Amino acid sequence: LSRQAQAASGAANPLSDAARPVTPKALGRAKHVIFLFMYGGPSQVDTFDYKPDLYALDGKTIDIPTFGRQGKRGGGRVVGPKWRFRQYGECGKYVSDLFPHLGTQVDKIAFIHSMYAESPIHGSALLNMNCGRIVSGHPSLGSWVNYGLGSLNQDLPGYVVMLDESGGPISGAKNWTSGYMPASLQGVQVRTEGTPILALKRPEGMAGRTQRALLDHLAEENARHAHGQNPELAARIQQYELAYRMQSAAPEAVDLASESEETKALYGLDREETRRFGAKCLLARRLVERGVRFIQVYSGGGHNDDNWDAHGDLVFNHTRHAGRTDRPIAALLVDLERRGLLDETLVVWGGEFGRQPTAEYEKGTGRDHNSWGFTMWMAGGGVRGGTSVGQTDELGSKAVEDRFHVRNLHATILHLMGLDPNGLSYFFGGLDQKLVGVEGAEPIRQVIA
Amino acid sequence: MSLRTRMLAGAGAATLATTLRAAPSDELRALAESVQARCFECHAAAVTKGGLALDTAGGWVEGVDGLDPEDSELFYRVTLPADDPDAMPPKGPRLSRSELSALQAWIREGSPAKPLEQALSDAAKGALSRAALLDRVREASGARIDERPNSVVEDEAQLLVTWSFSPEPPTPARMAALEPVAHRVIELSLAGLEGPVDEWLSALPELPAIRRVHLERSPVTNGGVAALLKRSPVLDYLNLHSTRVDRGVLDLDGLPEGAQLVLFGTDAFKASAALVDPFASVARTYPRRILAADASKGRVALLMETAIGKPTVLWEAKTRAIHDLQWLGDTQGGHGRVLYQESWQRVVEVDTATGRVLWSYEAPSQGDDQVEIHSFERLKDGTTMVAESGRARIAFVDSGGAVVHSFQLQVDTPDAHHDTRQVQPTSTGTFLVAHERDGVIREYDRDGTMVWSYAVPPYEHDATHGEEQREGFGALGNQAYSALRLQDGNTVIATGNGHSFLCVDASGEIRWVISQDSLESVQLAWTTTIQELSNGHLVLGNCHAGPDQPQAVEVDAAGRIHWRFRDFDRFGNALTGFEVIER
Repeated sequence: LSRQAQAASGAANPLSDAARPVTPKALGRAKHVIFLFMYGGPSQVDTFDYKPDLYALDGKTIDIPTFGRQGKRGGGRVVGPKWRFRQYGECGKYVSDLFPHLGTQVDKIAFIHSMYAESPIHGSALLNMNCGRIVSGHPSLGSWVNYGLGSLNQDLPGYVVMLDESGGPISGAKNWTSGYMPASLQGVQVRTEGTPILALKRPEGMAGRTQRALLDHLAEENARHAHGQNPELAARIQQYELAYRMQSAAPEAVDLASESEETKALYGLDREETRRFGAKCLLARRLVERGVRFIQVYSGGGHNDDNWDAHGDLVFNHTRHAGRTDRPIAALLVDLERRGLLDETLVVWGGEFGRQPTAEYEKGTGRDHNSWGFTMWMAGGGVRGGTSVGQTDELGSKAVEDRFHVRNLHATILHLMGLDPNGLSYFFGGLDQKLVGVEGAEPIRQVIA
Repeated sequence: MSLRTRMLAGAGAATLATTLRAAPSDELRALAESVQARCFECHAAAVTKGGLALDTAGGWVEGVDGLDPEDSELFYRVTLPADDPDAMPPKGPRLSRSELSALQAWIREGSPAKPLEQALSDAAKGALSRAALLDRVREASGARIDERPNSVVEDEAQLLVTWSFSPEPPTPARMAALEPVAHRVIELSLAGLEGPVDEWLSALPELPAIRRVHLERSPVTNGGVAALLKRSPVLDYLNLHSTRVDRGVLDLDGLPEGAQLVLFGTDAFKASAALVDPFASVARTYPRRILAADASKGRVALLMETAIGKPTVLWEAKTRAIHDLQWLGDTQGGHGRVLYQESWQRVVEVDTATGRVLWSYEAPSQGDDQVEIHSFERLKDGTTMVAESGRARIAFVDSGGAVVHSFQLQVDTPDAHHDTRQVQPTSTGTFLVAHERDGVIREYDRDGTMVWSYAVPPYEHDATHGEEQREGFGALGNQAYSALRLQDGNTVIATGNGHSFLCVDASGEIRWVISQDSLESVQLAWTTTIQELSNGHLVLGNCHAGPDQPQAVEVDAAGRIHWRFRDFDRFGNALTGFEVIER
């Protein structure tokens, strides 16, 4: 690791002050990102990608190539969409009955129906969506945004991750790692129940002044052998300092009790089903107000039906996860807008891939993974609301029109944040590394207002 | 050469003059500034691509071809078309025409070092002082100041100023410290700050270019906003949510037309807009809801069919006996008012959102003789039609529970349990009554005059049958359960243990029949409820058919099934009340 770190310091050492206020080349309209990660892979044909012809094919066997965790197959039994779609908003967007609240917000949303990713397997696909590659070790999107724009609030982390109560996604912290960038750019886990940030509390019996003196002394000692050339040590010193400042800033930021009853009810905090995800969405808004650049909220964690990975009973699985998230997400869009923050906050929704139109097993409604075509959406932050771009085939199986790679999504997010996706680079391993890779990628122009 | 001839030599004279005069021309200064801005990234200090250093006059001179100055690489490369691979600079805007002229002139003049040195040095100082100025302002104000490139005025970046997250809270003096760069400020934020915000705002300099201001979650009042508006003529976004401004803020002068004003959470907002349900449109777009009742399970329930074929319960209540129900309209959150019966004698109207009983009616007893209610409906005039078996009458009950009108029914074989099943009002104001025991549909006007009737043909055999087959597929009879007048004027009849639905016209001709086995993969047992949907489809009830059969189906005019309802967990073999709520 120290060799890696040395290599990194070969460039102008960004580690000495990683949370530095950077002046970006261009400031985009979006200042913050809230990435709502639907872990497990929501089924596009049951959520936002309306395929009216698929209902009648329910139960019929068709020849259509698929690629999931079961490998490549030549066809299978169609599972018709299990929810009706109805039109919403001025744009008349069809949304399934899984999202009756979110449906009312479609005029704020740009849907991308023609996404494709590089892997139909959770672990690698998650890394693909979060870090741009299917292999580990690369910094995640939140790290890139913070690297490019710098932190707005020196007292809070610039990158916050909130996990599902059932656990984290596969590969855990690799999904919010800063990779070869300094550790201060990695995501910090924040919880809405219990202790908000683990291991942050000052030890019992230690006064603030004592702690300050200790930190000052540590920094002094560290400076002796660091000579400003040890990036990991520099990052560690910064983490100490950030933690110290967070001790006073974080409790206020995560205090949902100060929100009005009306707001809490809006996010569904008064209902068991929506309470947990609602609290995370509400906290995400509070963090945006306090200058946090990038917030990722996971819906679903752990294994099997604890996330959107509907291999068994599709109706049970998606009813559960849509039921928990529909109202809170709609509330987030409503609340950001009424507070005048939506045009500065980019909200991104989606999973690591989608699901197949055919059944995975001989019986049941379960669908296998599908990275050949799936839907994601964005709202706010300079996105053109009420639009839909790209198409899958008539079965919703594969992206066929205006296909967009995960890189294009990343490029769009960076662009909307005022960063040049093909220019933003970090020197490591002898290469100017980029989130969009050496291939580069153009933003999805159709969704930009 | 005399002085005079030198002067006459034109260009030569200029060369001499320039050489002698160290002070560069304005054009040369502009050129040096432009080159500094566009070329130094690759051709200055440590980085000198192609060996070219443009931060010293010597470097420029090296780029000039002494033999053929006009064809020098230094000039040639910047004049190439932008798409030429050798064109300089490779990215971004090219040198302007006037800058090219200045470069050409400098080369023609013999590429004199001195004035260029001076121009380069002045350009460097200028950039330094601009940067230094911003740093001084940062320090004096304590604000975080981000720069955004200005596409109009080169090298005059637009500024985004915020005190919101800075460790130094603002003071009037710190606000005033923006003055030297005030004309470049396009955004300002004091969001979330505590303190005398009004006072701070009053200390602001003029902000002629400011577009966006964040004051939300601060204690700013109308006074502070007025002070801001005086200084900001082109504002197009002002966030005041959760501040202390009131309605008066709407009357302040100086807010440009069309500017976005965020007032959520202020008195001004509460005064101007009533709090509305942000998801109000949800109510218009609910998934299919179903009102259903089953006497065998003693349950009446409001369901929402979010997933096709797998409804979830919004509300349920107990009932001892039930043959009819009616949806009266939405209240909130998918709930609504429902008319149903708790027993054969008592009909209630309940708001399913609160469970409150809004209206009720108890059938008056008739001495020792039993009276049973098997049908009821809230009519357009607000009264409720109640059909009472035993008394063989239809009563009209007002909102206070008083019977305001009634008429007698014609019954051949009177029976407190079997006089009627369902009664359906028609669009012409008449009532279609299913007389179960008589096996006849009779249509009455409001005065009790029979205007039409239809005797339901017994199914295959006589209505006599064994006890085992009283209800199942083998039951035989014509115990009509309901009749509905369709939009086209024909009448559909559920024949009960006739296992069928008949459609007859006014003359009694049968138009079509759905018999026990005519629907694909469905077997009808005791046919019960009929509902005509807005798309012309019929929703038909199927009782006593057992757990393998749907309890209701939606069929089109061709007899194709579009939807099945089967729920033997919540409901059983006697799903005698069923209504699909369309919205």
